[in-house]
Amino acid sequence: MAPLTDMLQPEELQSIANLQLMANQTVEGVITGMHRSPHKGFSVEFAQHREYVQGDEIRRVDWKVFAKTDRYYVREYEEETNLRAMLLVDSSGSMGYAGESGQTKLQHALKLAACLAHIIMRQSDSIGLMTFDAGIRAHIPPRSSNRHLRVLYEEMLRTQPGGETDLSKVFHDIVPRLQKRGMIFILSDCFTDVKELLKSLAHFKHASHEVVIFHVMDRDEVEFPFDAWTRFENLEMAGEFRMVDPTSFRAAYLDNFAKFTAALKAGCQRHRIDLVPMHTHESLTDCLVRFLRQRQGVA
Amino acid sequence: MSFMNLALVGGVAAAAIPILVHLISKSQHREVKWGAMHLIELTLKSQQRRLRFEHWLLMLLRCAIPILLALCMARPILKGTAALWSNAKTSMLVVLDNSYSLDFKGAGGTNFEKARDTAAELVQELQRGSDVNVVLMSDPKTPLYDTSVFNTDAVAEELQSMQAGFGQAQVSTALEYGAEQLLNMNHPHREVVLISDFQRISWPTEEGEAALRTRVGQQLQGMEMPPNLTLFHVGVEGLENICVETVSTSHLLLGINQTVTVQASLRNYGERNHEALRVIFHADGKPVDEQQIPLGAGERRQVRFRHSFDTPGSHVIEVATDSDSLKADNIFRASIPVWDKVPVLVINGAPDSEPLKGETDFLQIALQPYREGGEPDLVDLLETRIINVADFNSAAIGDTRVVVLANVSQLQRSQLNELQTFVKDGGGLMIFGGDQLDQRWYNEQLLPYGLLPARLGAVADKRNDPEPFTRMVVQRFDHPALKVFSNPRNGDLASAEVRLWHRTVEDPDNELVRPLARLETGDAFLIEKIYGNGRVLFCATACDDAWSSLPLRPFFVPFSQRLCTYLASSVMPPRNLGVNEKVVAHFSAEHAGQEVVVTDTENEQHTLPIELRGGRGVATFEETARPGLYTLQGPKGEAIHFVVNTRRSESDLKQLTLEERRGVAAAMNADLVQDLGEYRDLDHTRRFGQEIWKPIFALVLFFLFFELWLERRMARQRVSG
Repeated sequence: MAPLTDMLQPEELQSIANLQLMANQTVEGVITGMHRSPHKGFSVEFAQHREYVQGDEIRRVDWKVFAKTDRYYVREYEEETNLRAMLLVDSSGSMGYAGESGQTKLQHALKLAACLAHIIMRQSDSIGLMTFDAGIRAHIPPRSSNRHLRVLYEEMLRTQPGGETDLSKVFHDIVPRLQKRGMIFILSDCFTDVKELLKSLAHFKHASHEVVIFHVMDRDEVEFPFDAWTRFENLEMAGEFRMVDPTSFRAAYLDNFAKFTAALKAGCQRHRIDLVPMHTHESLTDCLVRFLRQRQGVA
Repeated sequence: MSFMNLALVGGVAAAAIPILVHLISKSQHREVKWGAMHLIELTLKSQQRRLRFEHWLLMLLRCAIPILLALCMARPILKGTAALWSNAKTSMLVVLDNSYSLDFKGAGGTNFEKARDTAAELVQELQRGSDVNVVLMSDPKTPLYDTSVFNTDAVAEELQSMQAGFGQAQVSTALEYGAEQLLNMNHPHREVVLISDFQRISWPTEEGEAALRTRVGQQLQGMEMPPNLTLFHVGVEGLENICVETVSTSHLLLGINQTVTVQASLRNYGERNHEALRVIFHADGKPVDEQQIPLGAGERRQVRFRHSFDTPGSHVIEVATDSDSLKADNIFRASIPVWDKVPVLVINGAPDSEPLKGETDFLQIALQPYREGGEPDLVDLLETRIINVADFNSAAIGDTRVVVLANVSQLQRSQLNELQTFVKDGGGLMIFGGDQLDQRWYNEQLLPYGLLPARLGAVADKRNDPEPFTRMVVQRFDHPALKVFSNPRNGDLASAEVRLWHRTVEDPDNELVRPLARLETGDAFLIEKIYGNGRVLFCATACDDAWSSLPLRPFFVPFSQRLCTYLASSVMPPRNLGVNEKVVAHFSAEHAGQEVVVTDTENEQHTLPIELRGGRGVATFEETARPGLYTLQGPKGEAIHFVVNTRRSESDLKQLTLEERRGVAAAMNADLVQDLGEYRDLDHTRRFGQEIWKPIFALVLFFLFFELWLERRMARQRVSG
């Protein structure tokens, strides 16, 4: 497995090392130990050995290797995964906003995507990546090999924010490209028309995908803390701006923002989509813990 | 509008500061590359109008605050046409309340002293060249000066030397006459200052009086050059005052040694109860009797004194009580003429030698009961002389005060002329009916001569009726001749049976004629007519017992006496007067051209000519502004007393409340002030306009708070967030 140190801090890696991804929806395929599957006796091809970690089933321990090395290793198989996860990362201009932290929303989203990829790959599930703005920018189909993870990281590092967003159109375009059912992780600020967005998300659900949205927001977008005249320049459309006195404007903005998030939340609940708010000033760990607890049904 | 600190008006330029700050802050804006533009767009779309309105409002407030502050510091003065008068000469009319309620003495002098000093100061403060006149409220028809005076110092000096009057305040009349004076004043800028204690009795709040005052106020405002009307309240309210309200005597005409009952009515207007109030009775200036009576707060009580005079002529009685802070009403005086004899001439129309068969036999007894009753020790006041019709002439009249025609058929033309002159000059004529009376002559001769109160009709005869008589209707008589019979104990007039009587045709439109008593049939029994200076009484029945039982009844004596004394007393001009009422004395024509001397209350003597008027000598004296005793020395050296009393309505010293005064002022379109400082401020405002920095400053404070509130409201989400 390629090191994550290029993108993640060591403490972040440590924190997420033992996190277990729990799916609450039965997906086709089963992986030994972690996932139950309706398909029994599925043929697999050996891929590699992996050092035993707590939680691995004892029966998967390769006792021959133990006898030779006095260490516990478990066997991993190329096709043993039954989870096909796809990371859809919004790389439109609006994701380029950086607040006080100096980190853009896209950067934060990609960090999270890396974490998710790492976790999924550790479970020998396959993970793919798709970046998009108004259209699809990059598409890396899901694989579960270690080399694939490096490919994903490289693509993530190349990704820069820019361009306009049309989430609903892009999502409608993406759905046919996903050949098998799987888990869709959408990392986006969702700054589009909520109704249209929900329609496109319903498309995913229609194709039997499990959808998780990481709603990436900057604190400035949530709290609108400006107090002097401000020229807001559109990140997605060059030359477009609005001159606003935030003192009088703020209340109405926050009201509209609350309506926007409430509509998104309600829509996601209606379509049984997990919506995970994600603020750039929060640690990734907090975000992932929140996500997994949510998946486990812990309040 | 003008400004006291004009230079500071430039401060309004500070209004540019918020605009500049706005523009600068807008130009030094922050730039943010923003993702959530759709939320900005959405917010702008939904809130643009409100935001724009609030921005403009905030900007307006922020601009208005420095403008108003600059105006405030520049001390603006609001003035309409006032600017025209700021340095103008003034025509000032002072309407000064000198009614005797202002004689009430509080701390620091009487209320009138305060009023006159106030008036003097107002006049002295006028710009040189201003003119002044003064109208006194107790005598408004006579202003202090015939035309307005320019020498304000002299006016002030005269005002300061004035003393309180003793009349009643006539507010509306004073203002009406004041308005007439204003017409003759010289400057277009006019001030009317009414200085009064606002005594409730003089400033009634009843609808009629209030409407009258309002009308006068409107009249002043409607003048070609309308004056500024200021009501100036002076003086303190007197809470304690006792007054002798009235003094009346039991006799219309008093003879020597006749005992007269003097009845005085005292009233306590105060709030303190008096356990033993001393009431002193004086006769001719000497204390004669004294009583102590309890008089509670608000109570009225009667006190009676009895006295007789042993000399004929003019006498004075006086009822006084302990003095309080308003002395003028503590004494009530009355002038009482005491008669030695009152000559009455009775013309017998149906003489008879047989006792009590003659027409006037009963009347003679009734008018001279002591002489006819054989009581030499007692003297009758009325001296009756009975003559036949043929003997009636000017010589027979002589000094007669009352002539009685008893069943007289008719008179000769010369006799009629004599009789007419007699009545016209103030004599009294009593006419009794009877069977001898020539109805046609009475209607054709006596009536046109003005000596018959009403046209005579047919003689009414009840003798053949089932009830062969009628009676007089006894009621509450208010006429002085019959008042005594309102109480049946003094004689029951209804006890007389009237069988025959003359019907009369009354003329209700004739104000000089009035029926005094009626029969049960509705016919007039006794009718009075005023003719010239004298009076005529007509009795519908006869004075003997042929037509009625009138002379057989006990009341006939007092009845006859009251009628004759009434006729005799009414001859004299009144000797008991109110303040500012004329003293009039009559003398025989032979004294015309001579002079008499009047000694007033201050012991000053005034010489008066006797003028020939209406066939007799008449002397008049008008300077009766002060209450008290005025003694006239007649041409024969005889003293005639005239008494002037104040009207007791002024004794109730209660004043209008401040709220009521404000109401009065508002109704009259006037300003109300309480002291000179307040007047000066008012005058300053009228002349130079109204300083308005205070309301502007209040507006600044309001705008500041409003701006703060609005700004907080616009940002309250941020604070709470």
